[in-house]
Amino acid sequence: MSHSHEPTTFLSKYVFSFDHKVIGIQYLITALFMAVIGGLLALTIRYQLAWPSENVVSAESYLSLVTMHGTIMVFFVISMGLVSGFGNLLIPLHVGARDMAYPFLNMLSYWVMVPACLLMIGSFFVEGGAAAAGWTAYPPLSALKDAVPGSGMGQTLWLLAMALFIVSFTMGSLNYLTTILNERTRGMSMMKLPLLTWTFLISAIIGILAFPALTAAAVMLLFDRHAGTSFFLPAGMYFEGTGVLPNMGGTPLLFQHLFWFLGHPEVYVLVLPALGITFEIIAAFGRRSPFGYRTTVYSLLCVAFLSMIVWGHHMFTSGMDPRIGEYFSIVTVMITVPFSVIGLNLIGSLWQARIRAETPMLFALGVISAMGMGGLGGLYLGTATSDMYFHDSYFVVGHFHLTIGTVTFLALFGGIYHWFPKFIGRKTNELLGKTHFWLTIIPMFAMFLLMHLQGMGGIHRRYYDVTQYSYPNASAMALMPWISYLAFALFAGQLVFAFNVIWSIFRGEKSSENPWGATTLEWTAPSPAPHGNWPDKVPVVHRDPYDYGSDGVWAQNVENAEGQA
Amino acid sequence: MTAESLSRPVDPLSEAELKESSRKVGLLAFLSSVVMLFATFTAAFLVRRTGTDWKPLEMPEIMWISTWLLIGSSVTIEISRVTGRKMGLLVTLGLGLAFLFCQVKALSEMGGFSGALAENPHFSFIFVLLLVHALHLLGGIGGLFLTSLSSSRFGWVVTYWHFMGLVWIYVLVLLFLS
Ligand code: HEM
Ligand SMILES: [Cu+2]
Repeated sequence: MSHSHEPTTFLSKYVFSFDHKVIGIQYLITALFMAVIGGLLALTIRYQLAWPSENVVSAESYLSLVTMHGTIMVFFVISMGLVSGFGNLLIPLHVGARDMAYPFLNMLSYWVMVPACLLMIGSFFVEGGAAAAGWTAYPPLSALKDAVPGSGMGQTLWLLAMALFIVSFTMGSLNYLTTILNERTRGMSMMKLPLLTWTFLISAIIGILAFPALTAAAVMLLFDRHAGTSFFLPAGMYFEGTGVLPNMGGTPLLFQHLFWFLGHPEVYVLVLPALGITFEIIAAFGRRSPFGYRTTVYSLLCVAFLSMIVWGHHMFTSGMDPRIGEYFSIVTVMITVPFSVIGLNLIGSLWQARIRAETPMLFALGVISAMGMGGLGGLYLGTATSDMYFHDSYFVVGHFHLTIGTVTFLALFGGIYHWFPKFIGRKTNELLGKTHFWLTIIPMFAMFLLMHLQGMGGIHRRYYDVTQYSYPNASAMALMPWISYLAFALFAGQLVFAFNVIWSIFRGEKSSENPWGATTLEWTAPSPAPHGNWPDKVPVVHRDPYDYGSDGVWAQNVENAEGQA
Repeated sequence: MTAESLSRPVDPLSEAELKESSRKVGLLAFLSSVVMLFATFTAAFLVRRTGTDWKPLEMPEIMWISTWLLIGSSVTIEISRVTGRKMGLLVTLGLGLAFLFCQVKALSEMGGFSGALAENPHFSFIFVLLLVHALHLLGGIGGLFLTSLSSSRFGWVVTYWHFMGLVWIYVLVLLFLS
């Protein structure tokens, strides 16, 4: 395998590397860079919302900001950071392989992602500005080039960037799936895989099966935009000046169905690896095997399956037949069953744990509470009757920021603190890490919980100046600047993280092979893990992934005293 | 990948065997993704077909020719695999190119990239599906070319080629005979 010929030139070692660890770090850095952009967009949005009279942006560019913030955060930060970043770093180490199944494809997938990022960012600078149809790209705004300024070149670039993203993400998913299913070391049965790697497997399956729906929708959208077809465009659309458009018979609802067939599973692509990271951290810092390994695995599989048949809960207000709505309500609420099992297993894993409250563990505990609270909001949105009121309100914005925003970001940070010693060879600073935790979790929870209240008070999402409407509740309105202050505080708090990471790369305390006393295979490789991961033979697995027994803590590759498996 | 390999009690395969079996798993996963792509187009087609502006078109004669070309190419690639002669891959490649040529001709006879594309939704679907299928087939043609040059085994390309042939027959039935 590639183990034998280690790359020597700068280009082959750091730029066009085939090594899963280098590629993982490339993805993580790119994702963090995109997170800064996504965050700055969020701050601009918050400034406009709190002080609309200052008109920092126009109504049209506000839509672009919201669209690009959502797109960047969902696909280019969380998907890329958690799945492509941590997936690359950890999958081969977790299964006991020297690299991914297809190292060349892996390198290619990163270098397809780079132009995707550049196109996305570049679309801000073209005529008309960036896409403005929301991260959901609903037609007609996304299908008619003249609908709003962002519907022009910006939307075209958005579609191309997303196409590249899907190509790259599919290549990645094929690699993760094949590596996990087929490149496991001796003794590593599926039921001995770390839970995080199970979540990567499920994300990969979802990626492979659900993204094609968006690809197909994007192809048809491009034809509607550039060839005048009417896949998604109905008859009778009217433009001032142009008059009635010639389109006939298409239906924007079709696009919504195709989009959410991807869109809903996609949120599990984001959230499941976050929960996987949490399982790894609480095992190591709670010094016990996570509660209910098998039920967690089966529940994950259930969630993955159910996630593919619930998409209509995003469309309750689209005029769908109430009987179909009822179906989507029921299956949506059904997901809470396996999901609660996972959540309870997370909480159960704290029972009788010997918790060491170091930085990664704090973030992991944060994930559990965010998932609990965010999940509660989901019940109201999954029930068609209450969603009629909450749909497109700030209740929704608060809900998905707690779940796919807070859960994922906390896990991203927790994961970085947890595996930093493995890949950099040094620990991050504890005091700075803990400071960063409190500076992150307090504003995040406050901000997104208050958004729920605003939604109950009738404030609508994607509006650039809510003061122009008289119906929202006055005290809900009064929260606007406070949420913005919290957002600025949150952003400022991240400077502590940036400083900690950069400082620790050079000055952090040197780390041993297994600084946390964890049991999965990556901790049996040197820190930082070398090319090929293990200097001599790959480990052979004898034990369950979390063997924190009463007689001691055993890594997966330790044989029993009696020598049996 | 068998149930046995899922539980990994045995010694790992040799490196060449591992590579071969990983290739199968990866190819299977990729093909499932292609299935989902065409399934999505199918769903869109079935919905859009109920529109009041739907004007069904006849299947152009030339598509019979292209279909036979593609079926023939599956035969030649199979012969090539069984006999182990790489010459057959180039014949397959030629048939594949002839297929693509017929497809282009069929589309341009029906109106090409002009007003017809926008006016008739059935034609819009024909155009998009032929295009998407042709792009996937081009990947197969690239694979045929590379495999015929290299000295290694046939790899993924035979399965992929048969699969794209099946997809074409599916598309044909969906568009004109369903
Ligand atoms: C870090 C602090 C963040 C702040 C202050 C923030 C703020 C906001 C606000 C105010 C909106 C709604 C704008 C409107 O409807 O008018 C929004 C939309 C959105 N945000 Fe965030 N956000 C943050 C992080 C994230 C993260 C981490 C994600 C990750 C998934 C995310 C995903 C989204 C999405 C998908 C939308 C919807 C975009 C659309 O309507 O098309 N945000 N954000
Ligand atoms: Cu959903």
